[in-house]
Amino acid sequence: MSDPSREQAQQRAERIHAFQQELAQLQAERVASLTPEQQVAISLYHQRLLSHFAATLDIDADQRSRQLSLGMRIASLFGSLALAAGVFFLFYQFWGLFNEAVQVAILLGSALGSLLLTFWIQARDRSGYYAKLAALLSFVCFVLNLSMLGQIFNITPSDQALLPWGALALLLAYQCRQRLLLAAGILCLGLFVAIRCNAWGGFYWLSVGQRPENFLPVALLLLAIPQLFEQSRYSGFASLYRGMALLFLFVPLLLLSYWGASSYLPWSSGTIEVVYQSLSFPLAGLVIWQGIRRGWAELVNIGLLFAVIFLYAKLFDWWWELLPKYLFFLLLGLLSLLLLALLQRWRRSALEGAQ
Amino acid sequence: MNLWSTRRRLWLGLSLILLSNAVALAGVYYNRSGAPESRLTLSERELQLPYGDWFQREDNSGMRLQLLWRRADEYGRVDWLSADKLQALGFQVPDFTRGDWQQRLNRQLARPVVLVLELDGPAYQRQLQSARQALAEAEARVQSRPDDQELQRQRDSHREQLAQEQRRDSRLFLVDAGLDAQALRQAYPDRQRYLLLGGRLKPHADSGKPGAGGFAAAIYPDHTRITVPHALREVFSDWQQGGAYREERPQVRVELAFGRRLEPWMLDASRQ
Repeated sequence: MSDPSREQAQQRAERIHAFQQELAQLQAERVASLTPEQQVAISLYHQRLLSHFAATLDIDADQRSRQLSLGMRIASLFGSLALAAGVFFLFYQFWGLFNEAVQVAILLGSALGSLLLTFWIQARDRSGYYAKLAALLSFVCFVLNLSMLGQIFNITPSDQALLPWGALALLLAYQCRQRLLLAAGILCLGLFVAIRCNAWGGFYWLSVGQRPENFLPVALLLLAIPQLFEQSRYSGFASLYRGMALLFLFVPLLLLSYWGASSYLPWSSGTIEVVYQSLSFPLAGLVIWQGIRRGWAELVNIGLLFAVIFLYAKLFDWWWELLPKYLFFLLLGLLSLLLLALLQRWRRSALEGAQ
Repeated sequence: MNLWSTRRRLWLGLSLILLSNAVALAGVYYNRSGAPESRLTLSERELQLPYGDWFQREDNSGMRLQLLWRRADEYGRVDWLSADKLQALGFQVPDFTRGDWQQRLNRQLARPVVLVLELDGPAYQRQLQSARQALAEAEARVQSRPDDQELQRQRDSHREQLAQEQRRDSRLFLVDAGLDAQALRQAYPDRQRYLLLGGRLKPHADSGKPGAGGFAAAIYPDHTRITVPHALREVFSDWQQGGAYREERPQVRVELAFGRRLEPWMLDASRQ
């Protein structure tokens, strides 16, 4: 038996349960049947496999465990966010009572200590919940560490801090297979790249948000990462890269479509807005098409979401002033129905194609 | 996941934390090494406990002071920010014959600059002189019409403004900006009167004629809040957050140094 990750083992367990239910149904409806020897052999093999996974990887072997597991995930997320906020406020509450050397020692000690604690817990916690909680705490301690050093010594605020923060978030995300930290890491490094793009023009780093085009190279980089680096061992990581890439793509496009003055392009605001509005719809279509072709659900969902937002924003632009409010909303409702019918037809044709 | 890769990641994480701290602290050491770039003696007029912070004071035991600086401009215009100065700071000066010059100016983003702040110098004296002159004119008007209560009210208001200017308002004025700190230091060699501070500047159009009396601009120094070292906190222990008009605060004498990276630190503080 190969050594699967916890996520892979969980998926296998779910396939086994689905298989057992479907086999029971097929036998009840007398469509197919297995000999008693085959049934016993399969059942024993599955039991051994599930026991092995449960013992070594702490997977949810049955429905009840799965339900409890969801509750544990939620508790772990809230617990880690609350603990992180607790550490943050705890330091602020007492830091003024210490001299600078003690402050630095506490900050550095908490960052190093929480990282060591994360790895120590991970070696002992098969479920991974406590390790994920500790990982988020470790990230917060490090963010607090560098930002408080800046305050204590009046260091000029800079985007450079995003680089180590992003690096540690990625390291912890891959170590603990935690998507929340991956998102934090992507956000830090994505912001850093966008700020550097902005700084090449000689502009102040905090004005990065006033030129949404700074974020477009980040979208391209994020789309390339799961293509260049294999992510199959990390469940959901590739989807998260692509999902965040689309946010870095579509949010700036939406802003530029209605705030042309924020563009680098030397044209009038009106022209820039028309250009970006014309780009947005085909791009959303392209993303949906690629999502369907490659079987990437996140591309289809985010592409559809933004296609609808672009459409409604344009309708608002055209009709909000022109039409009475009831007519405007009725038209929006009708268009939504049309869109629904179109998508349903598309789905049917896709199903027929698959058959 | 094998043990080797886990150990490697652990060492990588520990090195990352140690290296980041080392870089930050080395920057602090570099900033404070050698003679300070400028060294100012401020009073309670140039400093206050900030208000509008993230935290209420009871949630934050740290103490930071806000540097109070002023612009000697009217209606947002900066008298020294000419078209040539804008160009020298890296901005594109729009063609004022075009109808859309205001949009073109407003579209430009903020740029990092080095700001020059003057302590108790000619800019403050001009402000003081202007307040004295306004009071003298108001008194002359009252003498010509002694029974006019409105004129008396205006005179009292100018008298209060002069008192505020003489006793309570900050004497730290923004007088110039540039890109090269060394060139600015040559132009303003007095290190105890002229402070160089990193910041950002963004010009914008206002309703007046282009460039007449300088351009309007939003200007923000990087460091307006300075942490009080633990050993000096007692000096400011009875200060209240913010600063109200006409408020008389305990007199203090604060020595601030600004280092090679134009980052400040408090050298000393004492009550007068």
